[in-house]
Amino acid sequence: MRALVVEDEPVLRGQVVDALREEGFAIDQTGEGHEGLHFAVEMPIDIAVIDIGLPGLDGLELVRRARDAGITVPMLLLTARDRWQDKVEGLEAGADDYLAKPFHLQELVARVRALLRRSGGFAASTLRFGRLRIDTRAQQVLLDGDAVSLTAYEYRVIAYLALHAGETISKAALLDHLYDESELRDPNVLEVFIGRLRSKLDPQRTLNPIETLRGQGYRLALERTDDRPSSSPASG
Amino acid sequence: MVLSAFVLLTGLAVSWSVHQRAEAATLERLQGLVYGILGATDVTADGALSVRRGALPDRRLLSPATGLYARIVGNTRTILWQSADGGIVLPDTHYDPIGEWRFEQHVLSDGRSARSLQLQSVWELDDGQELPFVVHVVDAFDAAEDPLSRFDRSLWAALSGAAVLLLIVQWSVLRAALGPLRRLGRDIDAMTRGERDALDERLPDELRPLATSVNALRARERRRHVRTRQLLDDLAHNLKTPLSVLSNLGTDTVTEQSVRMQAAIDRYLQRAAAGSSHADGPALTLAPIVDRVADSMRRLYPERDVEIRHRIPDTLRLRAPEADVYEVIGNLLDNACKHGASVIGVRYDTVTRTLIVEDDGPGFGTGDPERWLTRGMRADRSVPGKGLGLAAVAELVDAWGGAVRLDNREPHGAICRLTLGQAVVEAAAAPVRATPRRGG
Repeated sequence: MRALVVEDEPVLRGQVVDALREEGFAIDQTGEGHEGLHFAVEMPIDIAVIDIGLPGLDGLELVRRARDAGITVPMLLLTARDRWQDKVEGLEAGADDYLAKPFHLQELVARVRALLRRSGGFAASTLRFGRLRIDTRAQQVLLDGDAVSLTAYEYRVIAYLALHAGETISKAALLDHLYDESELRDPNVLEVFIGRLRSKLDPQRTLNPIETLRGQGYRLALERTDDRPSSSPASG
Repeated sequence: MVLSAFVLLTGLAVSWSVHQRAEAATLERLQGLVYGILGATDVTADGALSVRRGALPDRRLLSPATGLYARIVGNTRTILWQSADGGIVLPDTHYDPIGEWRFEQHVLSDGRSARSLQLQSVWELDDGQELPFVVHVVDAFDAAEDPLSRFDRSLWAALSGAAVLLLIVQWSVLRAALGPLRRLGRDIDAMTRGERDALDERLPDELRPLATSVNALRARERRRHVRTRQLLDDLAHNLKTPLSVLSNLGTDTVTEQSVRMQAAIDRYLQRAAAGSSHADGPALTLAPIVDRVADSMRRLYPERDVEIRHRIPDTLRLRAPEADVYEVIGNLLDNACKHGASVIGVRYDTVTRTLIVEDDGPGFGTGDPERWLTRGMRADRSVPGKGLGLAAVAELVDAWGGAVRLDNREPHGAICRLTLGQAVVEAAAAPVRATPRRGG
């Protein structure tokens, strides 16, 4: 997953970036509002963590303009002004959640994970696909209840495909969402990850968890078996 | 009252002045008569006195019942000469020192008023003897016909009429003059109720500076208040970011102290906000605020599918700082959403002036629900949050002059009753409005 961090206080930004990287996120980061908007619009981010009090363009306006530009990824606002009037304004601007400063990094990570699950239509932290379970909190994959040993990047690949279950993800998009700008991206390495994932997740070759659509990309081929959030019309 | 006193004093002064001048004129006239009678008087060598009728100064002395009478009285009350009196009993003649005048007013036997003047005089005879005598003149008049009485009547009638007219004019002028003052008073009342932002400065020149000054003062106070709150917010902002950094540095001591600093900032910011919880702008309509906060709950808890219904009259307005109203509503709804409610109702009781927020969640558990109003308490410690929500609500509502009461709801759920006190401006009944569930 790829996260955008826009926070003008460099030490705090560094802490947030480090915490998210430890969770397996590729990161785009900046301390300035206009650049943050540019990243939000131009980069293939999956989630944005945005401070309200930014130089250049404040966080609320950044969110508004990103939404106006058609960016639908979840956005988490960081704010020192944690009064409800400010929160309401932030949510109305298009943010999905807020976190008041000072905050614990663990809480920020938990909120980010929750937002990503919600955006993928998942209510719980564990994504279930029949025999396969992906615990996003523990960053662990279980097959028939047994933990599967995956590298960090292998986990990132399967987690991204799971959160976008049913969607075909191109190689390029997968690379964008897994790697920072600064990292070397090699499509061949991705093919190696996919091959190793298939071996680890489907040693008997009965599950076929990852489907390759030639010329298009990859797709998680398993059906979801967890409870989805209700999408029925409101009563009353 | 001043006008009445003025009219009275003016009337009295004019009447007295005219009476004085009339009296002086009468005295002068009667003196002329006395001198004229003296001029018509002869005394023989042996002391016999006679008056030449043809030389009398006023021919009315020759006829009875004319109202003008005269006599000359000797020193033993002997009437030496008398004009025709028509049977009228004249006032007594008095003896005074030689050359002295006596001017008096009497009521005669026929009921008429009269003014009399007498002069004590002496006639020196050829042989050196003196013949003392008094010349006494009486001028009778009908009080009702007296010109002075007629003058007085006319004077008082005219003054009364003028006074009434002046009162009417004065009342009209005052009413017109005080109209702007009354309007100013109404505007000030409206400002106090939060219905106006500023006084209307379309006033007479005399009052416009007052309205301008009040508006300027109010604007200055509002700017100062806003600046103070902004400074507090900026202070918080500038402290909270470094605190975030410190709290994540990983050492227990630093984290613990950061948490303490954070709690202190929140506590004193909240108290500062509650301490300045007086409305400095127009009264706020509550219903749109509840709508906005309810929408925010939907965004924050999409998986919870919470339905928030409210029956808040569109006319319900509060005189309280807008940020504080959001704080109260936000904390209450967030509290209900966090604690597992699926339906939250917000309504207003116009009789008791109470805002009621109730939900179908787990309630406040056993024990006194009021303990959750204590700062630091949180009903469900497993739910993330600062633990200040209900305590903050209680502090803010208390600053408005109201109170918060918490109860458990049967069979399960929580009820928060906020008595809003003087913060309420007005309200009437309203239909139920529901914030639709997610996906609806």
